[in-house]
Amino acid sequence: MSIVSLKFVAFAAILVAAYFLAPKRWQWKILLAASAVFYALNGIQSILFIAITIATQYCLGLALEKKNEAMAAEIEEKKPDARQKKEIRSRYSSSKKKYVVISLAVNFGLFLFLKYFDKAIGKANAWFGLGLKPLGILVPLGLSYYTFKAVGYVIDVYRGRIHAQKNIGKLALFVSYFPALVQGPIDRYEDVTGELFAEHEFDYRRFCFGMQRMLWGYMKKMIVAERAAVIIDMVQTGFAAQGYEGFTIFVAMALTWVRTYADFSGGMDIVIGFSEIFGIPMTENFRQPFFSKSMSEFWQRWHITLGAWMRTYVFYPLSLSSAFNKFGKACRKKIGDKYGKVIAPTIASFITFFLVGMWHGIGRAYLPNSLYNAALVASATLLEDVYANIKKRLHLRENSKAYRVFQSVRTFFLLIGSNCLILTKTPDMVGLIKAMFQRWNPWVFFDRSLYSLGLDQRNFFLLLWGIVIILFVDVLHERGIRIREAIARQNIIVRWAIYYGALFALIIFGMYGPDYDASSFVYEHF
Amino acid sequence: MREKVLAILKGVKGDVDYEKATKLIDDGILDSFDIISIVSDLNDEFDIDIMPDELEPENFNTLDAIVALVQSLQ
Repeated sequence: MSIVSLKFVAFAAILVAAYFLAPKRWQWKILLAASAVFYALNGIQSILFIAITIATQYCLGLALEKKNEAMAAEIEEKKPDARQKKEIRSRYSSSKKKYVVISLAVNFGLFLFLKYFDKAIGKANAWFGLGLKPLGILVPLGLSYYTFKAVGYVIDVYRGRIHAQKNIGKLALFVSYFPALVQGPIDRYEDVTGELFAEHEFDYRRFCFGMQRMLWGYMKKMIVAERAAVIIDMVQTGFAAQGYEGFTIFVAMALTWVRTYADFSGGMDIVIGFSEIFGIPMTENFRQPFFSKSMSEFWQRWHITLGAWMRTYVFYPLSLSSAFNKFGKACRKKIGDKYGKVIAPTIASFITFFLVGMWHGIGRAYLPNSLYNAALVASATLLEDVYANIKKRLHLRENSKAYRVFQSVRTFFLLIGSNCLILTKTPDMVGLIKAMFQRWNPWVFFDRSLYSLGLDQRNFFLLLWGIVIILFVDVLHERGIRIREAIARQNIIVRWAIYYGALFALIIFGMYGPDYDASSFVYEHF
Repeated sequence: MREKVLAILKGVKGDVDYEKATKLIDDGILDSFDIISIVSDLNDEFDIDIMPDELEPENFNTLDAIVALVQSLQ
């Protein structure tokens, strides 16, 4: 069941009614049941795999909790000094580590198996002509999102940051909470479970806010993302036959990021808004990413929960590991403090970006792309002096508005570069990128040829207006203006005019209908 | 000790008012590279071992929080 379907709207309405009409102590159980139904409707066999994850993490969590309690008791009893305390901690942590290793092995083993086993068989057949039969595995919905959530949970118990969940039903709800299954966010246990398991009264204001946000998400997805997708598909599939070149391809490349943003953040608005109706705030996944001044900032504003997960559980532990520590010290000794201290984190960041790439899918394009991203992030520190020098010579004022705009545009161009790298995974696409660079044809912006890429003039302008509105809303958010609260302060006529306007815009301009199959979300496949 | 911590922070990233800032991490003032530099400097200066599980926003959002973290490990 797609969340962009009337079926989902009906499902959502029934669930909201059930949640608030039933006795409060049933509320979390209703969400669990709804998650199970939602999951079953998306492939009943997948329930087995998510159940394995839940059961494993439940047992490991409890085992770790027991060790934590024993450690706390020993510290309490012996009243050790700082050094002895450290010794006790390290003794326990080496015995606790094996549970984390089991968690990683089971969950990532399952993850790799489900995601790549059939692909690997296909490759083996193609290379060696083995004629092996693929298993026909259907990748479970939200596999990478729930796997990461569940693995993070066990590490947090290991670190003593949270207590293990003793009720397996509640843990199952945390792992499988269905709004987060479509495309995240990768919530952290401590951030959501307070409200997830709590009892909630119906709240009209919260209901309105949630509905508004859902409507906004549907508009982003159905008015903007789906339209942008038409042009992107047209250019990518037809560039050779149609002879698209230069700026025509560049427009499609730029639209790729627009589409991904409208699609992914629109999907987030839908699920976060929906969850808000219940009174369960989910973690935000975007913070106006296209206003980033640098690539490093972009990765803190785009797909925030994946970035935070990678930072907390991969980048930091790796950077602080004794091997990296020693290596870092050696670098500092050899080439001095300034540059020496960047080298070890750069390597750690490369490994992290590589894993982010693998999370998206194994392909040869992800190696250069992770190198590209890690290099850009590191260059900000490594080339700090050079940049400062250039700025001084050009008399650039860092705080001027123009310079800020320049930085955002530069980041956008760097992102298009990253896109080109990803596209090179298919040999055809190398041709596409060549065709983009081999011709300078700015007249395509004036001679109506952009209207022949699948969207007529009216639809093309609708797309442009949609982009302008999304940008405008982002500008308001960036300035700290809370739009929904501003709407709530208006009188009833203005408020309902806005609601109806948005709803009719969606009905009239949204791309859907009996002969139109709303494509699934880009990030649903991860 | 507070001065020493402040000096380390200034050394990693100079143009920040650490006395006033309350969301060094949440507002993205310090990025992950900065954190790694700060942690390795703190480890050397105070002869402590800051562990990955201590690298959470609440321990690095303010100067006071960082000082408290260092104190708790000494």
